[in-house]
Amino acid sequence: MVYVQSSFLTTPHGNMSCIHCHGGDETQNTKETAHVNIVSYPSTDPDKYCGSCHAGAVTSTGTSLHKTQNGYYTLFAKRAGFDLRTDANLTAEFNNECGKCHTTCGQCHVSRPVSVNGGFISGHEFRRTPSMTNNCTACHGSRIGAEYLGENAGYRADVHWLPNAKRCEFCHDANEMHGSGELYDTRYDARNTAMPKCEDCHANARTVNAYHQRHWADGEDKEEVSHLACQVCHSQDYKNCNACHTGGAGITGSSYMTYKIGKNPIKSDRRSYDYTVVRHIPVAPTTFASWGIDNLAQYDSEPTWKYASPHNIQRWTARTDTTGGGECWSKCHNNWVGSLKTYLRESDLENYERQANQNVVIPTN
Amino acid sequence: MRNLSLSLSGCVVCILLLAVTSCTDKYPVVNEGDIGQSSGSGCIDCHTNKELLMQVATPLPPDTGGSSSEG
Repeated sequence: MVYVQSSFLTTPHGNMSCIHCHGGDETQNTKETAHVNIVSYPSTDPDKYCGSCHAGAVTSTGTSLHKTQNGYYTLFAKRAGFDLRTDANLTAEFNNECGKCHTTCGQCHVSRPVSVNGGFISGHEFRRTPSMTNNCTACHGSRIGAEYLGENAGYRADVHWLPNAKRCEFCHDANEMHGSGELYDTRYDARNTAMPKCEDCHANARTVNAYHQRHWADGEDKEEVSHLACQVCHSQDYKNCNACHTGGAGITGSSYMTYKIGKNPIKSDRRSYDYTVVRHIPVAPTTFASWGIDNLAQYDSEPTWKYASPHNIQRWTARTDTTGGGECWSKCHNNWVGSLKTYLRESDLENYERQANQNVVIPTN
Repeated sequence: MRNLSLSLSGCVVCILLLAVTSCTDKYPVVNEGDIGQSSGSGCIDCHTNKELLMQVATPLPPDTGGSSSEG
């Protein structure tokens, strides 16, 4: 049911004819005849329907990862050894199971995304800033949304949300969402400088205490001490995935909460940390068997414990809370025992994952 | 005299700039035939009438659980 609130009619878009964007025939008096050649989602063709007024955003959005879905294609190609788009059957499978999650102008600025069953946010009104819960976490909900809003039982909301009420766009602004005009392979592509970092706001915290000075090395000290991503100390446990949510084959476990420190698998000038938290992703060599790929030929080329940015930051965590004293080794540095469950160990891996994660796991000796 | 000339020139430039920026269309130029068509059109008559829409709406297909948030 497409119910348009009358308040929409006083907005700039509401001053335009319905058929200007949606086609159809407004002179007809039955639903069937009025809806002939109707365009339900005009912004699936943004150049035609949005570009005449919003040319800049439309042009750059063509390179947005929300639009291109390059993250999927890049990682699939690395593991399979070829681009799935070269195969019509695989492309159809992808579009059926994964491709529907990409977004359009309207699915951020007018309605909920189609992948979560759509629905107007505010009676067809166009919102300059998308709704955090109806748009952002409607898609990015099972991990990021639940973490950020504190919906995982036993864990607190991210400090940026409670009590600081920072909405998604506080860090993820329109420049990042709309793309820069340059095509990136993944969201963590080192060239993607619009992707925020904690340091963008907190660079001045580098010297506020001995822990920061020791673990947040820069300049001359950088060669002497390990450089940790902020989340290594300030993240709570986060959700790790053990099955593809669309079904599929290969790995069929349940998601689980844990926290693992690994070696940074995507070290670059942009993210130069030696250690970071890593999140498990649900891909096995046989994950795409139902698509006709019995075994991913280059499965070992990419780790299955991936660089992660949990959105559940707290100042005081199991690592940083030193209430009652204690030594460095009591929280983290008892590596020689090899008993701390916070490090990603080879014993955490399935046999088929071991080679793929050899550069991420932390040895016990 | 020179200062007066400079001041007058500055004022003229400012007025011209204001005129140019203020007169720029904030919103798209819409075809003449489209303007005002939404009000009172057949589309709007139906799509602002919640009761009518509920009578004629096509029921949504059953939720198969296939859609899910990504992460």
